[in-house]
Amino acid sequence: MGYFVLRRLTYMVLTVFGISIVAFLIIQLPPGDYLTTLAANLEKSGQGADPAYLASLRVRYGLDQSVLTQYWKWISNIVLHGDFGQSFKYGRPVSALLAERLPWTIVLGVSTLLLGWLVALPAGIYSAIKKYSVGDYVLTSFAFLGIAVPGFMVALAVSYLMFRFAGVSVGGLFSPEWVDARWNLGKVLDLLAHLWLPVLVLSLEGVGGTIRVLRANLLDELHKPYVVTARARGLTERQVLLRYPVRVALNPFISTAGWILPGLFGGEVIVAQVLGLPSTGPLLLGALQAQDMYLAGSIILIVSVLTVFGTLVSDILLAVVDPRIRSGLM
Amino acid sequence: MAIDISRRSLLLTAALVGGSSALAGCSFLSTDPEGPDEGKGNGNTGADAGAKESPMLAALVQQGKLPKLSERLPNKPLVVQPMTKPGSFGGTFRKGQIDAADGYPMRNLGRSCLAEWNLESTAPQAGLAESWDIEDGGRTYVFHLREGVKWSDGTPFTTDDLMFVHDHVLLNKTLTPQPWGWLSQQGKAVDFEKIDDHTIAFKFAAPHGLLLKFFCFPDAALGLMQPKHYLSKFHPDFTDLASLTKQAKAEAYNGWNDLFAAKNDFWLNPDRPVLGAWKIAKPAKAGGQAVAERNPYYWKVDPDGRQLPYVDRITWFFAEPETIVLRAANGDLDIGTAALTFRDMPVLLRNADKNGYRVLSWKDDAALPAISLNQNHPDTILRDLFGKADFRAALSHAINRQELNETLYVGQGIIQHPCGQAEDIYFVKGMGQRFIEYDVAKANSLLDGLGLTERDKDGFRLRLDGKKLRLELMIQQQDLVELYQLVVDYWAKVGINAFAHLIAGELWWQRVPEAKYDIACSTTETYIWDIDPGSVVPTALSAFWAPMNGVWYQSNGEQGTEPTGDIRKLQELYDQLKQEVDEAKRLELGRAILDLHDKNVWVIGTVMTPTHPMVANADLYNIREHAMESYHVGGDMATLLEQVSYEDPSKH
Repeated sequence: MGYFVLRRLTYMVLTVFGISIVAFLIIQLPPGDYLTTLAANLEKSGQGADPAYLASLRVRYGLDQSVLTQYWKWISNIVLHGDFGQSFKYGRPVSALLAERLPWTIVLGVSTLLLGWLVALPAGIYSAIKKYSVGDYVLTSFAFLGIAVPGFMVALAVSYLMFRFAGVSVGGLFSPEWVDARWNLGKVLDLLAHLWLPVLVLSLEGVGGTIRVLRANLLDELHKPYVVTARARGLTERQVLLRYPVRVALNPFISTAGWILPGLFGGEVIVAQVLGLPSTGPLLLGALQAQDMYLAGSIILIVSVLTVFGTLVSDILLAVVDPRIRSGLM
Repeated sequence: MAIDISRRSLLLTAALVGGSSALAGCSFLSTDPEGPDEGKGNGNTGADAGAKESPMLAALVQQGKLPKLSERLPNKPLVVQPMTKPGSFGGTFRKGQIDAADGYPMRNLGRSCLAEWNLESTAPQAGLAESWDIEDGGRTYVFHLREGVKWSDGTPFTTDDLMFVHDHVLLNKTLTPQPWGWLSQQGKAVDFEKIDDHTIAFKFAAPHGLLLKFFCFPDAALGLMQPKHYLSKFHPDFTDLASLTKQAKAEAYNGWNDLFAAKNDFWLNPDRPVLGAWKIAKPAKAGGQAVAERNPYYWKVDPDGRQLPYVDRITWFFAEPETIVLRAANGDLDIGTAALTFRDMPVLLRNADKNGYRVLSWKDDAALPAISLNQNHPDTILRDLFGKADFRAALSHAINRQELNETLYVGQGIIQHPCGQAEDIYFVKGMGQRFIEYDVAKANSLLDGLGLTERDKDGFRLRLDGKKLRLELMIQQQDLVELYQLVVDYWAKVGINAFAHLIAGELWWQRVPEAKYDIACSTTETYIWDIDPGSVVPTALSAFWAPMNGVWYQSNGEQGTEPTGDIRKLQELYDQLKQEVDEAKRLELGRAILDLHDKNVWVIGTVMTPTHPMVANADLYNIREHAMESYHVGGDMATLLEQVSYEDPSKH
């Protein structure tokens, strides 16, 4: 096991390095750079963006160098000095911007995962053992709706319904009076009062998929000989179900648990934008729009690291959960 | 930095699970919001009749943390007449904004320059300068500063601060690679001359007719107000360069100049002293809010000698436009126009009484979606075509504006071409009405007259060289796509093959400097355009109808394309206008410029948004019912927020 983890760690470093190059190149692909954004702003403020002035800024920020040189400057500063560079748009260090938002991204990601599983796993099991029952159809319908309707639209709809019928404004994770307050019980309660909505919206899409996958997997397992054997040995139906086939059917979720964070970074950007969540999604969107490449690059790099690391954790978990993997049968 | 992440996240996570670090604070089980800074003192007593300063400040004076009011105010404070009646101290403005990184709101609220707009935003009036003399035919302006004005940290504001900006910011090539346009004449930068601590002369190479107006334009003017005592700590002329470089590196900035810029940012740096009515107390942060508090040294009073502003505090939330509209409709926005449009009127009006706010009908200075045919098109055939007045007239006649108006603005919109608007001093009634009526027959005959008679198998007209004529409408604002799509449909009826294409702002600004597009579609700003003539006179890239002519003007003929005919005449007229000190003569020149637009219709107008909603808490007074939501007067500062007050501040 130790050797396995060590080997995986080595691969991880190489993978992240490769991803970082690709990410940086992709960010550079669209036409223009941060200075085109700046030029637009200067024009707006009546200062006028003289091409010569922009050219001098391009030199100052090193934007006239080749992409590879810029990449090298950026990555070497991160690796050697832990310096993620400066965000052009915010005029602040990238690390400070990320420090504000990463914790919230993780809170949202973990809550979404937990809520999703809490709802979807029992529903999936029910759906499988009561195949083609009314309950199964109802759950399946909800599952497909959740998959089909885009998250941002649900977010907008819920925001409007909350406003229309409850007189509550949606957005952010705290009421104004609590945003800058110290942590105490009241603040935790205020957080919970706001957190449920984005978590609900964010987990909605995943729930449908989870129910369907679990249902299908479980249906495969339910009639295998080992289930019959267990039943024959006198275990209750509940024990039979939870101890063996459900454990096996859970494999795909454990092996993808590591993707929840990158999913939240990438897939939920628009939901986070609509609901005004303090996660990294909106930050990434803004950075890409403004071609704020050090900020965008750093977010993508961190997401890659999280994905790769999450996959490792998943694999280890999988080995723990599934005796077949542990003993090298699969 | 990197270490900071883990420490913060650790603390946060610990706090979230109710971990020991938070429990250690004795008040964890409390359910009242408790600010991080003690003794904030709400000051919302409401019973302040006769008090000369906000109770919030009076408390600080009593604690010995702040000098007496008489020592904080200048010898002769600026007296502001309240619009309807004197106000009461206290309360908070809750404001909304889309982009937390944008310091625009604070630049407006921080309004403080040598001269400022009057309450009607029609003319400059005294500001930090009590008076001024215009000498030498407008080449020299001598300003007499108000004595005893202090920065928000109590340091006196003198001509030394202005000299610092001139000698160490404007003349510093690193901080200012090119001279500021508005502080230059004939390509030469201004020269400052200190006469004494409170008298300063600005000397220009040629007469400057617009200087005072520029002082009123917050986005330009606030650059001139930089505190020497604070900023010299970050400038190599005063502080050792090696230690500055070290500090810049430690705070993750590229060099001393980026450090200087960050320290000079009064939206994000609460330490930066200001002269405006409020100063940032907590800068905008992720998911959080920004908070500004009153400047205890503000230099304006009401007629009773009570220090302004009346309202103590401003908070901002940051959200998407849709969310801002919902929050406004819910009564969570005390004042502001941010992100609200004419189309939100129904939802805003429906909930106004119930949720305790009013919707004022303001106007919008960028309200007219226009069609700019690229006069500098690289394709000579198209350039010739776009240059013909008959072609522009034909396209204009082919648009059914009445129908657009009914479809998009319930018939309330204003139909005209962009030749200024009714509120602008240069506007003459009747301008911008040429080629405006819907007339398909006339459009067809004009197009036929231009020789565009050949058609392809789909019935679309061919170019003069026999190739297909296909025009791209390049659109930057998503909310305008619908309108331009309708224009495309109207044009198809006269055989013009066009398509509407929404592109990202970055792509827009990539294509404009190369003039590589057929038709640019955006709203135009034509109110107080004389300080920002870009969309009217090609003086910069923002003349989307002739960008290369703008570059030519801006680079003094070194780059771009030299204009001819009436377009060159626009530039010559503007050159005279900006040097004309005499108001009446300047008006004449400005009207001559708009007259050329009226005659040529270089930019085709569609239908203008009738009103722009401005939301105001029902408890607020001293607010203008009608005003212009304009970049040039500072957004909602058109109503001078320092003299706006709550009937009962204790409730806000």
